[in-house]
Amino acid sequence: MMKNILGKGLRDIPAPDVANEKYWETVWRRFKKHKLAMIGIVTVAVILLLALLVPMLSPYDPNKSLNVFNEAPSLLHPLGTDQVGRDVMTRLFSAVRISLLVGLMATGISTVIGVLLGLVSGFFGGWVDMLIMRITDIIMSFPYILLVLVAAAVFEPGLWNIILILGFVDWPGIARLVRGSVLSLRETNFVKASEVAGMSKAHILFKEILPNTVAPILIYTTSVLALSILDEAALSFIGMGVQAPTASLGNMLNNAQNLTILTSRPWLWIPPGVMIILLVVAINFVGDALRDAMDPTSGK
Amino acid sequence: MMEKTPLLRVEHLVKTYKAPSDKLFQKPGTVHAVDDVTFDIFEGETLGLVGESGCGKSTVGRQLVGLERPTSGQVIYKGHTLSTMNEKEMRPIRTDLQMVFQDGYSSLNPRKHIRDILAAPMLFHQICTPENVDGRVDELLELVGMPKSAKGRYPHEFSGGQRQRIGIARALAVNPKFIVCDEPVSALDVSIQAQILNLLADLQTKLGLSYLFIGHGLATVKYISHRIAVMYMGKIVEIADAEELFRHPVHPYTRALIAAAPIADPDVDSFGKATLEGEVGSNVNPPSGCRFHPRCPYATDKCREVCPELTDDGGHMTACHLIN
Repeated sequence: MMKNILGKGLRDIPAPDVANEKYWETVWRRFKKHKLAMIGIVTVAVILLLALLVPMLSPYDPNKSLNVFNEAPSLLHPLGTDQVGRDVMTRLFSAVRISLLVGLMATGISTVIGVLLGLVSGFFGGWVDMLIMRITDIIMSFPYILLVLVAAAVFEPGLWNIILILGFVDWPGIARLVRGSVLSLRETNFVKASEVAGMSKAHILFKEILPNTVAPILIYTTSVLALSILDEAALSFIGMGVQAPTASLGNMLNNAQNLTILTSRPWLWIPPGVMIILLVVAINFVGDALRDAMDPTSGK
Repeated sequence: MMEKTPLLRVEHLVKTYKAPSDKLFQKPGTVHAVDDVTFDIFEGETLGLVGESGCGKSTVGRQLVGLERPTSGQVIYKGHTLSTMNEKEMRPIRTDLQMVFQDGYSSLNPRKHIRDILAAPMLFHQICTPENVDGRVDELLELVGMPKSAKGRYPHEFSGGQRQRIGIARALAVNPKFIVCDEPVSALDVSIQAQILNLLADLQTKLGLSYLFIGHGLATVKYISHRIAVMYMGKIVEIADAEELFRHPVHPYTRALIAAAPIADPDVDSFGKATLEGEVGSNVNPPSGCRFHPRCPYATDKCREVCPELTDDGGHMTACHLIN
């Protein structure tokens, strides 16, 4: 009967072998159900691929003038040229490289700092916890952009300094998150059982507790990644970030800071603007889907 | 009287906590979780520990395995006083004292395979080499009645009873002599409870284990225990052989507990029996004298003023003024 109505019998649809599934297989299966996230991941992948290929295959140097100034998009220059006479498409994708590099490195640094401080703070408690959390509070309560500006002024602005500055500013959120989950994990019976079994603190912290904090950390880092890309764009936009002639999404927008360009040469500012939006939105979609996919309580 | 020396001796164990104060500048009160508890556990014996929720029985268990430090009093294991030892001195003894937890799910790391859960303590204490650890894991699984195929699976793939078996296997991994079973069957279906209790009893004969079996269901505790201690508000009010305790309960609280247990016989009228009035008193300001006097139908002036000591009557110990 079923077969006739649905065209396909229920038995023909293979049920997922949930029982024998590895954790990451489960996560991937659930992740795939998120349409927006899949769009996001494809978007990021396409942008990455273009960022790799375009500067490599392009006949133009992103930082060299071609002596064709402010030309509208054409076959030779699909996104036109800028006021200095550089090919905008080549610049755009080398800017994506720089922006992603800044985002990933800054996220990496802040994750390492945040995770280590969070683990120590949550696990050992007492005055260590007190000290680390107060430092965290101080950094969080600082007007963030001001802190970055001061840092950028003290250590000359530049690619690596931007990475370090953003990396050292973004960790408090991760530290708090990790501390919170360590505090609750420390009270679980499997940690108590390890204690009773006489396991060392290092074993308990890194082999029992840390693997259980991976999911929240990973989810949080996606939003840190998106934020770092935005922060880099903002800093470069006000001239405190990546310095010319190196292209970044922020300083490309910075070049479009006047009314004539905004109204008559949209090819100079629409592509980097759209690229920032695409990257940030796509990464946030991925983060959202990860949150659902990695939550052990969210059913199948 | 028993001539044997006890495997584990608990002497005047006290555990107090600071009570959270409700008002801003209020002096924090003290919670008397465990108040002067003394008992012995002999080799191959199961001591049952019963009492209502919050009477301090789990706290006693946690102190025996070193999860909490006693405020005062001693835990003496094979002549070593555990409470005075530091971490390093504890290490060789630590594995002798293990624990099985109530909730089999939260007691197994959700991110680890069963194999890794069982192998980790053995590798850490060098009970096994990395080469032969798998054989030992198989042995442990067989010992608790689990198939070898369980090794490559995660805790969430098992039922409550199976997880409890794995929890028992994990406790056995380090070759303990003594296991605290903290309500190991309270979260399970009745049919599964019996299986786990039988498993624990089998393991006891096979491996010569001693248990402290903490529970609140009288029937399960009676089933597995050789002797039973009854706790009320942090104090032991009666200890006796399991049969003896049920046949001749002396302390009014023990009597009430046994009377309150449901009887699976529709013809027996349990409504006429004495049930307890009132609430368990506060652990912050425990009642003076006998802790039980506000609820005791036989309380006298002496009960309200003087705290009764455990007195021994041929192995049946009771803390009540009425029997002296």
